[in-house]
Amino acid sequence: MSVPIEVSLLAIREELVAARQYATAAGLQLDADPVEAGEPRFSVTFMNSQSESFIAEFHCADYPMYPPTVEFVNRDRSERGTPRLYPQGFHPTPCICMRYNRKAYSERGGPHSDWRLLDWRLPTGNAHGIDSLALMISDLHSKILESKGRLG
Amino acid sequence: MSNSSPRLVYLTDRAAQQTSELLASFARRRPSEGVVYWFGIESESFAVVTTLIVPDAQTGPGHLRTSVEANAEAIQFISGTPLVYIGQAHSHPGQHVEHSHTDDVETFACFDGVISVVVPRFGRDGLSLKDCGVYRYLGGQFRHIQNPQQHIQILPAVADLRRGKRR
Repeated sequence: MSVPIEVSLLAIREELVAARQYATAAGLQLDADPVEAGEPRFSVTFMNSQSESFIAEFHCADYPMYPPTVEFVNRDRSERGTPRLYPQGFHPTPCICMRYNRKAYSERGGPHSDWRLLDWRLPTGNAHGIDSLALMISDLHSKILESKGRLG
Repeated sequence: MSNSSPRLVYLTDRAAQQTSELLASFARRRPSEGVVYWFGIESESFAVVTTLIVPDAQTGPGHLRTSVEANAEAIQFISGTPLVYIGQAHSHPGQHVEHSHTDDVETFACFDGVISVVVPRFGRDGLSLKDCGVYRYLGGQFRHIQNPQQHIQILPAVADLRRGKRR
């Protein structure tokens, strides 16, 4: 089952309003040009505590039924998902090990066989559910801000 | 709350969860600390948090302030009830849960026995006391509590003991 791209783009555009507000308030660079061009993806540049930059790309095919695939990429997108593109402290797979990342699920090769893609909005443990693009950005922002160096 | 031996503070797991949800709500649109005041009922030896009040605070990524008016509004809300101020929880952006100097001198309100709990990561990971900083106003200043279990404990709010419930 897949979500028509028009539906995904509509949901992404709606949620990008809050995501942009958050990014502006946090001083993050959000690049949503691909969305405007009809592609369901955007990227956010984060800085860690040592002012190293990390670019996370949110690929939102089938959103909002399924969570995005969130992956760290280099500036020209010629490299993606390698340890050196990840901030220190993330899962060594490497992977952003959160329910909001499709890559974290075992059915997509990730470490979590205990999560179901359809339940991606559920909270994990005592934490609160991260159920919007703005909250995903906010969660990554606080984690990256605390990290030092790169995974590899 | 003005006992020489500080009262043990009880909080239900539901109130703890709601506290963290309220703290996290400050950071939905921007990175922002948050604050929740705890009011409740006291006995001679313990206090029970019954009521959470979110003041109209000025908040941001690394700070929060409450005006005299905002605090007065919170107090006004409980006037005429048996509720008293027990303490507050506020959030920090990352994992650090130390009281800042501002937390020490500007936290509402400072009198002996008041408890102050610092919740990491904007409260998004819930309120688990082992991850929080617990402070108590004792002898004229906030002191970091090394043994939180002797000062604050979380109790279950609900128990459903019906047989056959777990299938």
